[in-house]
Amino acid sequence: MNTGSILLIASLMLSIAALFFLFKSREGSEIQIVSARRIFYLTGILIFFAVLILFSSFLNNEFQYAYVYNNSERGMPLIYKIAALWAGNEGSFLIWLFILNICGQLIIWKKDKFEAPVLGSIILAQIFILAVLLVKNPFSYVWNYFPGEIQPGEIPGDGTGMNPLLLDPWMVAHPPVLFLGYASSTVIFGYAIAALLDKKYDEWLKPAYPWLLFSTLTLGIGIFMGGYWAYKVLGWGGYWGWDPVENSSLIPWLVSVALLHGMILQKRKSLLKKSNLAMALGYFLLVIYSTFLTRSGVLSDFSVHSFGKSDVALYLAAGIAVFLGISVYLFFKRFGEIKSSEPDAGFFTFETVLTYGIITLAIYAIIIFSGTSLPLFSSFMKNPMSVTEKFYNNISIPFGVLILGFITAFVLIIGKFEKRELAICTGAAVSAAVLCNIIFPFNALAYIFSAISFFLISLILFHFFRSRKTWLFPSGLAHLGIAVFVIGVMISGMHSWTEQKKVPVGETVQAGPVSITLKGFTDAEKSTVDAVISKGFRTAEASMYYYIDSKTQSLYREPYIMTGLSGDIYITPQQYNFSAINYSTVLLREKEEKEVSGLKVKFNGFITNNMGAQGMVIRADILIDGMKYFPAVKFSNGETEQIAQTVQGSRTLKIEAIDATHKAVRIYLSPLPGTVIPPDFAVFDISMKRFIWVVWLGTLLISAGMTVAMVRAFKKD
Amino acid sequence: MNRKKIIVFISAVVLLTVSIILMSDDLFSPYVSFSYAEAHPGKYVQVIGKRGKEDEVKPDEKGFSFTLTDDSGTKLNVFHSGVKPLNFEHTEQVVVLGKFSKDNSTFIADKVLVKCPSKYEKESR
Repeated sequence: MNTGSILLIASLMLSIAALFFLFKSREGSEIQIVSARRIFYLTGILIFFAVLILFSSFLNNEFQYAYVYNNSERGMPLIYKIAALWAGNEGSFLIWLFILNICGQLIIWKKDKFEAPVLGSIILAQIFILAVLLVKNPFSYVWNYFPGEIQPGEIPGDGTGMNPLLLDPWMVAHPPVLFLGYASSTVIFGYAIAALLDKKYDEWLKPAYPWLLFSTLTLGIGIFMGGYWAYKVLGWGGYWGWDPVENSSLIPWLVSVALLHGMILQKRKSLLKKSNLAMALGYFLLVIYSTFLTRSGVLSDFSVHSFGKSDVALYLAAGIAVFLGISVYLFFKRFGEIKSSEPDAGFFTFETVLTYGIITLAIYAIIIFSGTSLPLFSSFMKNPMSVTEKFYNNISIPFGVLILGFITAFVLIIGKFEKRELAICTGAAVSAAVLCNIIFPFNALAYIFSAISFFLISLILFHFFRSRKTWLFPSGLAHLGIAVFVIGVMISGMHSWTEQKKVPVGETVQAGPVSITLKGFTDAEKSTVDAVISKGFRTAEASMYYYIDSKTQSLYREPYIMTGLSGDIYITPQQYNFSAINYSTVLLREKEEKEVSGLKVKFNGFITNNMGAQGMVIRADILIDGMKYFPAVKFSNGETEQIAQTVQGSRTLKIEAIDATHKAVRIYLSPLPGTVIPPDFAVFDISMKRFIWVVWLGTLLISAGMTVAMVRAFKKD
Repeated sequence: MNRKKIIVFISAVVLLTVSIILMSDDLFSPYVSFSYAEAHPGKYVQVIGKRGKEDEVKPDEKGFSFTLTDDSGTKLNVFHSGVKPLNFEHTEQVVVLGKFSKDNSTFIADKVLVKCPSKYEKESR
């Protein structure tokens, strides 16, 4: 037991106490709620110190902690030691907890009208995360983590470092921003519970709305960052792969966007009261469900990057059950008495279009939810199955058209455009769509989507310059962003291309307008494949990482991206072939025969000679052309010495490496003088990602629109 | 806008979704055995298998191929045109998604998932 663990256990017990006092306070006693506040404040201090201790143990290289040992090493730069705080399951739950607690402190500080139920929901969530943290304890000792391998009290000299895929500046920003969204979803859940408990089906909107904007914005930015990271570093070649991990953030985000619109509709027209409560409850429930899907390991057979299997599944499932139970019970208890007003009958009205838009978003979320959960649910049946990327891509086409259509209808309604203006916008949209697509092979979808999007863009721009209704500015900006984003997605998706090319050292190969010259391989701690890339007037030297990472024992590659206005040139080193090394060295298992440097070589086994204090000699029993040779390695006083043999008068035979566990040896045989060995070559994937920056621009505009809306909502609050 | 119209709208969207699902192929990938995949060439499926230590990964200009072995020892040749997953070389279990092709008795995978070795996500205790 150490300080960190004690802090966690203490805050778990205090949280339970705080929740108890909160329950008591419903009888109307002020003392109870003051006690609950004070105890909650105390849990905040304890959690803060727990984070501080974990952080300082990363800074001070305290490898007695398994979490530090697994995610850090001495030489790691400071920013990655910060990022390591959330590089694994344990730390990321702790950071989530920390942010959640801050949300609770803010609720108390603001003297919120719905303090008790909101705080209660936060504390309940806090209890579940603390319970998970006791299973996945970031402060557990390395000898408890690797029993048998590391003796109790023995502190490793250095950690194993972070997974190289995570060693990226995006790792510093992406997870905590996502956790801001995750944690704040509890607050919205709390407000919905408050509304149901206190029968205040309208009043909860006012305080919940700015929180929802904050939550939607941070979760959205987190998702966008993840997409950009996947594109830039991970070499998956795209920004979105419909992977369960990606979907599990997208699903709650879609619900939160739908809820955002629902709240606006309720505030202005007193509609959708029940749906809004359901969505507010659902938003948080989906966040826990997502965590369950990605952290419990239930999908580990279906996802590229879910965390490994773990025993937190039960706790998370219990969490879902409890929160779902509370939600369903309260919601149906109050269902009958929540009355929304009767909407206008007209189809082409603000409220109708918004309602249909919300329904569309919700159904879209449900479909993605079903697709992502299919492996889980079908695993109860005989044949577990999953859905393919094509499923999501196909489904997204009609939903994309519907969503764009409703946004356009919305802008048309509020804009009250004249016929002349509409004609101009239509003309602009059609010509822009043609301009964007005409140079590429014909694709109907690309035309349809870009035409609608350009129409929407021109409407919004028209409206910007004419309208004095400033409350519409953030909505215009965000919807402009959606249109730009859709154009980016369609054009980059439909008109990009990829070619695979084999390039020998020193030669230049052409792929479309791109030419690539392979310079060679730089052997270093982090080796690179070096090439010169040129397109038109631009030439760049590219060094792409290509090395076996010692921690994960896997090949790490990083793409090279030459960004440009008409698209990015995206180059991934697939494979580097060391012809000279392959020609003259060979890996042989016992009794195996292979050809090396033009000769057939057989390895019969090792002969070990232990010479006591003088050390040890390991000989390899090698048969070449009917002759036996015994190249050896001598170990003495911590030094190793190669004992080479001469074959056929002039050629050297020596051991390069020994693998005792697999009884294998890597041997080197110098080639015959004058042998012509083909040069090394590399295989590259060369892609052109058309107008990919338009996708990024769209996400920036969406984020900007939401930021403006959020700042305004907080000012009003 | 009344309840009836909303129900009509929802039904229409659901109908549209269902018809898209019914009309297109390859939207689902059931987990199947090697023998099922071989018996149903052209059907989109996913299989899981182990990559034998001595089985080499054979790269060529279009992609790479390798052999998977299932629990009963049955072998399956797999070809994947494209990116070799980052930690492919040192992984034991591999999930491949695609179709079995009768022409060259090879499973043509359009997706290869490696199950991360538990090396750095070790179970505590």
